[in-house]
Amino acid sequence: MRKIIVTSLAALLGIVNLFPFIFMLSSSFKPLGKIFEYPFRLVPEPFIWDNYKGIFGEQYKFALWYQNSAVMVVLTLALKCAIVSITAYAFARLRFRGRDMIFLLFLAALMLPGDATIIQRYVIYKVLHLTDTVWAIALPAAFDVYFVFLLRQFFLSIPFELTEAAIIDGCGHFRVFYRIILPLAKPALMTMILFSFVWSWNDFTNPFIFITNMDKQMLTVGIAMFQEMKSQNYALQMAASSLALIPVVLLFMFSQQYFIKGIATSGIKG
Amino acid sequence: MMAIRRSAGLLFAGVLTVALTAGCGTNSEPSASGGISGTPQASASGSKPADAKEVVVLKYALSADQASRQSTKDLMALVEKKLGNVKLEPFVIPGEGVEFNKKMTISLMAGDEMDVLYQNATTYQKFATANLIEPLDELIAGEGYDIASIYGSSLSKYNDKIYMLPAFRDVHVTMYNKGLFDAADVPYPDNATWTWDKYVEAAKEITKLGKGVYGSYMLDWDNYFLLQARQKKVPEYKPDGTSNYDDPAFAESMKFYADLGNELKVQPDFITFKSKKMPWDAFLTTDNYGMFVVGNWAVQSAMDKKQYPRDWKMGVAIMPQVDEGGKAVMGIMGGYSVASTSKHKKEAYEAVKALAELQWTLPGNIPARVDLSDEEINSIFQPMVEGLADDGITVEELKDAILSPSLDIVSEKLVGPGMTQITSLISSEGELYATKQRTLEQTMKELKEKADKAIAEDQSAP
Amino acid sequence: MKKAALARSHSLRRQEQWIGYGFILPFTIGFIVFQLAPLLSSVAISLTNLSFISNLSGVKFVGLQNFISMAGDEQFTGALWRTIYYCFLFVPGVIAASLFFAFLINRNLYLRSSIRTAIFMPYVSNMVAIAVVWALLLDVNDGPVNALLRALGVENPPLWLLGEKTAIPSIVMIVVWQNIGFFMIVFLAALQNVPNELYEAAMIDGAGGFAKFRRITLPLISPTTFLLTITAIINSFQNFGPIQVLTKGGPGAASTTLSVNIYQESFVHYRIGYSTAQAIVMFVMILAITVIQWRGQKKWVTYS
Repeated sequence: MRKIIVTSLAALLGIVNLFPFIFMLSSSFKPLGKIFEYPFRLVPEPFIWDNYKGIFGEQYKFALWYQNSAVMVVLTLALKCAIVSITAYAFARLRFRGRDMIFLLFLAALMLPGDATIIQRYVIYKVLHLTDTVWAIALPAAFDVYFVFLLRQFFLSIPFELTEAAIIDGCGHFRVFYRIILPLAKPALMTMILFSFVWSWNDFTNPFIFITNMDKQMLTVGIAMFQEMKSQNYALQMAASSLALIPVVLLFMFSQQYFIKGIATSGIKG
Repeated sequence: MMAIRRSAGLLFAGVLTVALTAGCGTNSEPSASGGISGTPQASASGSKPADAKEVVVLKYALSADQASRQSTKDLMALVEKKLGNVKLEPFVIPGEGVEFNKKMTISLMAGDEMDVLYQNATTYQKFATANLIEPLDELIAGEGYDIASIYGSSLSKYNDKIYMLPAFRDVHVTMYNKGLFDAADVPYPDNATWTWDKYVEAAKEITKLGKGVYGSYMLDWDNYFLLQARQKKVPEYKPDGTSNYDDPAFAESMKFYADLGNELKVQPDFITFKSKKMPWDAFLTTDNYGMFVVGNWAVQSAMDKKQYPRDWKMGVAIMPQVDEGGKAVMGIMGGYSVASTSKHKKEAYEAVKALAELQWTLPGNIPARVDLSDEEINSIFQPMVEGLADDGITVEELKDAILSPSLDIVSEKLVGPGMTQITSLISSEGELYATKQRTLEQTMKELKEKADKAIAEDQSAP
Repeated sequence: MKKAALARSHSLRRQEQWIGYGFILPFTIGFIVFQLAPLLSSVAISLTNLSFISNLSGVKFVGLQNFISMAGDEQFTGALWRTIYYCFLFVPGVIAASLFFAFLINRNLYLRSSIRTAIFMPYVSNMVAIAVVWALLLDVNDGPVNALLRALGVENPPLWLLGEKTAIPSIVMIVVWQNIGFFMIVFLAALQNVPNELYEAAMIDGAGGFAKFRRITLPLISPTTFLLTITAIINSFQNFGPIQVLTKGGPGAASTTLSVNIYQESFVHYRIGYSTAQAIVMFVMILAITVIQWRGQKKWVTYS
């Protein structure tokens, strides 16, 4: 009984949350004039595929933008997994002088709004020849302090007894990191992967400012172009946005399993 | 359950792989920094004339919307043809308004090379203050270019220097839906006698609230809040330099505008307009609005039947006047400047000149030049009339509304200390009034106070 | 025997130091280039009157003048209060809502996976689409929300995003709704990390639902709660994106928070030195709050 109430409550929130997407999906099959029709019609009439055909048109480079975003995201994630986790481990489980001060300094970087530093960053990237390349987006994203913070918190909640024994027995820190901590932190790692993917995939401001060449541009900016080029052609935008959602939704569904209880947290007592 | 998740994982990997290879077949342009496929293949790469001068490539900053228009491509081709040694390359910025400005200014600040910039009479002053565009006086004097006789009063100076050569003008007109006028049996506006009173009368007749038909449509830009005051040329600054918004003329204008929607109900009320995010082109995309007071650039858009197909006829008349027989219309000049980061300033200047001299020859553009002959002027409206052939508009009508020498052009936007801030204050305070969250008195008081502050700030800025 | 053990522990300690530095080195290098350099240059800029002048030739050093002007600038102080107001609404709102839903989802439900996906969705959607949809929902005259309120007898339903007093709460509501996806997932991951055995042991000892929550769950997820509180605070200061799309800072200046003000100073009025100074003030505030929280950690955050 309780299950049903709880399910209904959650389902309600689910439906409310889904509405924008239902709207988006539905609109993507409607001609431009019918999108803001009132009252809202769920099943489009007429139902057209034109929008999806339209976005692959000659003057747009939809496929290319999709590819660029994919490449960027893969690069970013690879870098992040390598660098961020090991850094977080150090802050959480190693002792060295100045550790907390340095960490606070890192945290401080999160607190300055992007707009305040955008000009300087543009100049820096220019000097490093990063502008108009995928690295202008991937590199700064890879050095994202936020996930150092997040992973550190997770690593901190793993009891020290677990690893102390191994260390005293002569196990090197790297092996401890690789063999003990990483497997235990799967939910946290998956969180990082999931959200890094989402943030990078949906990033608009950075590609907009740092990339000019439309061939190298990312999906988010490309989609904005649909809006510009035909005086707010929402229909094309809806179709493009719907396609853009697919990898994110799939990744999320896949990542669910890591948030399910049952993954080994045993071993603590043992 | 697990099966679904695993397959989601596989699907994800699959989609990602497809994505990673998706763009491989697409034709990418050879090193075009910002070009969209479809840029005119002008003289450069292909056929060089026998005595080939070196072709200079100039970067021309454009929004995505502008870059995609045929009219822009025609314009660039025109300039390239006239000058021969110049190729205009669009530097496309996929954004508009403030986004566009943001990226452009960041680019310029960081020293990115750019050559030609489109400006209008109010934006160029900020750019000039920030040293982002070049003063052109030396180049002009250097070749004895007679700007006074060519551009006359269209020219504006800033700090006594010329930063922009005006290429076209834009004045407010009344666009009207002949079909709705006919249905309500209302006579079309007559350019000699069209006034705000008549406008309201016509709107009342046309409005059919039950059917969602309104007689009038306007937008939320600052000029709409102060229409009559600006037409009457009530100064917005007092002689002592502070703002003049306590003059009753401004309150009257505000009240008039808000009443159109709230009291007279001949226009969608402001709350509805904002809440439904009504687009600027509703007049063109629906058959629901009798009249639309807007700049003549919208007429150009209306000529594009592909983007705005319609089955009703349109008319163009002069902007409604305060008094019968008046000729005050709100307008603004648009033109081109040379960016200060340009490495080809002389060529950029030539391009700017060519643009300023030639833009009017393309259909839909109204020249800023004052030295054109009657024939040339007629030739401007001829293609417009043809483009609007279905609507039955005559050259005389267009001339009267847009380019007649008897027209008295008043600046559509405020120019002076604190102008950016005051412009946005007018809209934002006006909005609070039009959505009935403030009384008229409060609104004007706030406006005056805040405007005075903005002026003081601007003048004390180091 | 003891001496050897001591010596070994010393050398282990020293080894640990070097390993520590080694581990953080790659990140630190990137950090210096991509985060620290811009930050320091911002501090420098805030002490000047930079105004988008290229070549930097006309720039004057004005010391603390920018900061002094701020105190008397109504736009700034107004924006500051609005930001604090926003923060007070947003942080408890999002933490409470997402924790609640994390609990809900953590249980045995039907359709658990699909519901979770649905809740997560707004977070990944682009802001423009969300703005369009909410504009429709909150439409003052025709929208379903107000229609419902009228049906319930409310005579003058609120203006939501268009109202002076309701703009910020409406924005907070939408942004909380959007962010539940993120916060909930992070809480979920934390809840997953709480070993079942602890709950079982507590049940055997006779502890009831609330006691379990207070004594086991809360303490064990407190590092995450700490993380998310800081995240929420940072988010509520850096809320330019949503506000720009939803209300552009309006109506009037009703939703012009600090981040919006900074943007306007930079890209509309072109007063870079001044806007950067404001950004520095924002930065210092967030830093102060974080440091206080950090110190306070000892009191309420338990690490194993």
